[in-house]
Amino acid sequence: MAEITQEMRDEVKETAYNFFAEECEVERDSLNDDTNVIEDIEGDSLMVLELIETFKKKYNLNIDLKAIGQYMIKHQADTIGKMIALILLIIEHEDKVADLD
Amino acid sequence: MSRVIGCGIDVEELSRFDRHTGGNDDALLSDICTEREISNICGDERVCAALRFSCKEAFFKALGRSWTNSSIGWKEIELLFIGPGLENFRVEVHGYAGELLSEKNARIGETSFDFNDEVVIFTVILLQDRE
Repeated sequence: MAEITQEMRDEVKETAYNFFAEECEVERDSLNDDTNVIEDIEGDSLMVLELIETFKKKYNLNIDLKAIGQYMIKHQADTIGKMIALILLIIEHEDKVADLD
Repeated sequence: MSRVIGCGIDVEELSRFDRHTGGNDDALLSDICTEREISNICGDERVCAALRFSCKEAFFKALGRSWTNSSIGWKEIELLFIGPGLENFRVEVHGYAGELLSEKNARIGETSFDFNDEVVIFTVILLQDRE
């Protein structure tokens, strides 16, 4: 279980914003935490998987995508802000994220 | 007699799989494909990867689910090519995905795909057998 620092929070946020801006070909400044990944900027599941893989690699995370899916049944991650929160939880809890309420 | 209970169609742009094939980072494919699938490359590696992703997405859609709102794992749906080319293939369903099909008394009735230089398209039709 990793301790989340402010530096990590900032890095995850910056990476996620830049990722969606580049992949969805939109201005970085047009995005905010309430931007809906699918409805507002036409993101898709492959993008979400790629973003998660970026952090899996960076933090050498041991997590099965199924565990993330199980968490997302209870907590939709449809906006950039929620996606960032999910990624921080994945970094903090890895596979145990599925057990979180 | 049987009836259609689900139809999933998925389209993927081939260029989006460049970064995951051809000696580039294959971590994503390792996360969504089984060992059998990874060792079962036929023809163009990029087309294979896109077809596998598309097949799994189409199956999710046919069930009315997605990987973000169900406990279905990506590796529970396998696209396996038979022989040296892409002509012959089968889709196998395991684990929770298989249980969902059983609960619905359903089965994969039809699968098909096509591709060109730009996109792949995969279709999955689920049938329910009537008594």
